[in-house]
Amino acid sequence: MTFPGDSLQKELVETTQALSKLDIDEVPPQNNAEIQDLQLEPQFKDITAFLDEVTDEFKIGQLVHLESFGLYDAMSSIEIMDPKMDSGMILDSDLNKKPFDIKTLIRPEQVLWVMDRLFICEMSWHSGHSLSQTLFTCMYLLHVMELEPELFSNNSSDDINQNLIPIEFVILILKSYVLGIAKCCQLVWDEMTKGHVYEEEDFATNKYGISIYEDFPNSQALKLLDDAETWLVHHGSNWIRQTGMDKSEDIIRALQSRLLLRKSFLLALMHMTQPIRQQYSQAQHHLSICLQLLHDSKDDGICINGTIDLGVEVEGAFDPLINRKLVSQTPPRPIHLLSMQECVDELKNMLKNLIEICNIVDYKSATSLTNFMIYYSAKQSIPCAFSRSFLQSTVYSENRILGKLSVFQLIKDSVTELTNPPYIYFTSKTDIGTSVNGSHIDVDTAKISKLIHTFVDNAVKPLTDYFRILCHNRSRQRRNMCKVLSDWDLLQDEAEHIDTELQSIIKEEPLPSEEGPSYSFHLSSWVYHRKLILLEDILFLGFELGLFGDHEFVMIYWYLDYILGVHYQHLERTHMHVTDPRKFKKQQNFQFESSLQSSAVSLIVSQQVLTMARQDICRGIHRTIIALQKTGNYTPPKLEFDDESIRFWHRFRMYRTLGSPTILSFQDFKDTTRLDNITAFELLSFSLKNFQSARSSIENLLAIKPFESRMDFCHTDFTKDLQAMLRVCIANIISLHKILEEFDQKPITIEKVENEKTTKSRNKKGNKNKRKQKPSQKPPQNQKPMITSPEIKLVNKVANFEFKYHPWFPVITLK
Amino acid sequence: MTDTPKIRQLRSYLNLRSRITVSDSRIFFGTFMCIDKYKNIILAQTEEYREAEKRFVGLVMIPGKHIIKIEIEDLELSPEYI
Repeated sequence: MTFPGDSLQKELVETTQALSKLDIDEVPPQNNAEIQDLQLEPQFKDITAFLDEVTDEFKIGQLVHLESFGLYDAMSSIEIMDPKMDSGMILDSDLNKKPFDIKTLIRPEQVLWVMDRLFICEMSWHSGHSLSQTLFTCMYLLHVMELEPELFSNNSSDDINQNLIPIEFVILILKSYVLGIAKCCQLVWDEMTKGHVYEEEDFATNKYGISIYEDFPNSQALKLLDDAETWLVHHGSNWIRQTGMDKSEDIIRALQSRLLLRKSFLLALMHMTQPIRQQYSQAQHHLSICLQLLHDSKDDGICINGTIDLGVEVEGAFDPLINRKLVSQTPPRPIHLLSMQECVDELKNMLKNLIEICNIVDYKSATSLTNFMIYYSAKQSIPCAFSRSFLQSTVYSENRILGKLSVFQLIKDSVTELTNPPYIYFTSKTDIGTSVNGSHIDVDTAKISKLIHTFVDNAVKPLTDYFRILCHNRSRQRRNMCKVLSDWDLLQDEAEHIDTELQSIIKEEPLPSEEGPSYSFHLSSWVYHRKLILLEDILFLGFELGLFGDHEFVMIYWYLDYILGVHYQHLERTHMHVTDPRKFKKQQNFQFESSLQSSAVSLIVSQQVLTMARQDICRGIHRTIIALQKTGNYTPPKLEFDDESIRFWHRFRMYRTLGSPTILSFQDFKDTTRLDNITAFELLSFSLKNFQSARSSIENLLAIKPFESRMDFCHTDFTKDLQAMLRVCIANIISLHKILEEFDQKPITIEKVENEKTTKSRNKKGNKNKRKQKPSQKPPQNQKPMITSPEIKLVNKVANFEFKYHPWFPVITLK
Repeated sequence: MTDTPKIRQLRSYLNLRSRITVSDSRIFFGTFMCIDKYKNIILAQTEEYREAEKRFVGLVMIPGKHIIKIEIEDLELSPEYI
């Protein structure tokens, strides 16, 4: 390649530079103030021609770039003049668009349309879309303060005379509604920015520097809504009737119900977001009004549902291209706003959830609070981000539980409800001061108190973290549960030390048991119980989130079977200590103690039955799958780059660092699931028994009273969950019966491995012939079929897993 | 990779403020980060001007075929031209 002479090069550059400098004054258009500002920046030279020359010298694929600037950065840039990415591009469709004038008078049905559209935007925002693509697209929201009577009369007095549409439809009804929405959104925004949920994942809080009238007082918005309602009843409705339009009554009702809904929702939000959680009953009242308005009852006048499609579009009132005027680093995503019906359903769901949350401030017990959160987060219609954040604020904020209890109290209750430790453990310091001895504080008591406080201090973080996790979205829950496992493990370790010290102080006498003397370990038992629940939920959530493949089910359910078994034993042990008969002889206030004891017993028993039911289902499932593997109806995929032991290690890796329960190895798994000397038939019969016993356990659980199982707040969800499990059991029992019948009745084709291999290469016809030739090998009816070799197959059927009733447990059928 | 005096000169323009006019008469004002053979240019911390309307657009890639004019901040500007 020839290089141009240095002098020539210089000359050229100088010429181009000179040229650029000469015409630089022409660059900024004179009529453009913004561009002129640039003149304060350094002078520019035109390098257009130079670039043409220099890029000719580039090799294909050559880049000139900053060292720090890589391909990755380049990929994240927005391409200009690409209609999909460049929001600043003027499209042909935009050219003929008239600017929207919000000061045009619009008809009541148009007002209705704007209201509904705003509502759709609001709910779409709640469902996770950005403000810039939802509420901020509304011209009325952006310019609501311009809706003033003076501006209207100046502008279009002629129009008023012509159309006779009262100006109040816009400046009162629409304005109050818009401001009502703005205030609701502000209150929601305040809640969402507390950081309880994942921003951008659950919710978008970016306001893009646009005000949603933060300074406009809530009370003012309420007053406007009231005024609008009054005006509508006294004047607006008359006007609508006089026009004699179709469905005038419907329109009046529609407007009325929307104003009322907005007012009630705003009031509810205002009560809910008070720093002291004492106005929940008022909030609940307003929430129920909202809910009534959304219900289908068409008969008693005011409701939203019947009036959804009455609105008439106002062209240009919503501008989806508003995004281009906002400070945004990313191009807008293609989004789909919800439909009106979906919005109504969403809001209904949200209101119901909020009402439930308002209930829990009436604290019953620590366990019922925890259970509420567990079942709340597991709801099948996923609670929206706002209600989850609100739950978190309600349960734990500013170091208080439900705005009134200390965390100490909560942990005390939680431990007492399960393991019922000696009364002296959690006696507070003031109680010690006024105890029997008066002036003299027992040295032992002081020691105990100190130990207990150490324990509680250690437990605060894991427990509150757990509460926080339960308010996250499902995927995050699992991820974060894995993260906090080690905290609980550490806590358990510490609790065991404290328990041992406490034992020596109170001179606890161990209970004799088969495995030697057994101490009660009140505190660590509680920790272990909670930890085991975490371990189980992590695996169960894996099913719910669809993280496991079919071929991993055996492994996972097998492991769950093990953990649930450990949990059951642990509860059994706790049960034994809680019902220790010697305890009562020592206690002074027998009545009080015995009530605590009996409630602990009923909680433990219900937990035991639940654990057992789950264990039975898990066992039934993995046994069925193993049996179907034996019969060849289920063949795990042969994956070339898959190593089962590595996958096993990977699936349970979060349990490896834990002190307890003992981790099982892949070898354990292989050894216990090989089951060579059990026939598929027997195995299936065992599974059948498992499902049957799970079924009866669940039926027992359904009969337990809510306060006994500490499901006071979430009994409906708990019952639903149990019923779903029950359905899983029943469906599996039916399916197993069918499979077992096929063993008995239908001829079983026995194809040896070699045969299978050969038939695979043959055509279908050959395959069919093969089957017809073999019916003689059918086992005799009365004799137990000898199905020990893995080559036996129930004809043409493949195992099918459907999580149709419960997200954690599949129904296994042959299809 | 080819490395001619011109390319060296071009490299010296990197990280300077640059002003690009595109075919729909918008002007982009940002830091010159990267260019390829087809004059596709990447600017960082870019502001977009359309007449009086100004907005921040951040990191953008402007395809060479849409570029009407490119200007670069002139560090060597001697007093005689001012």
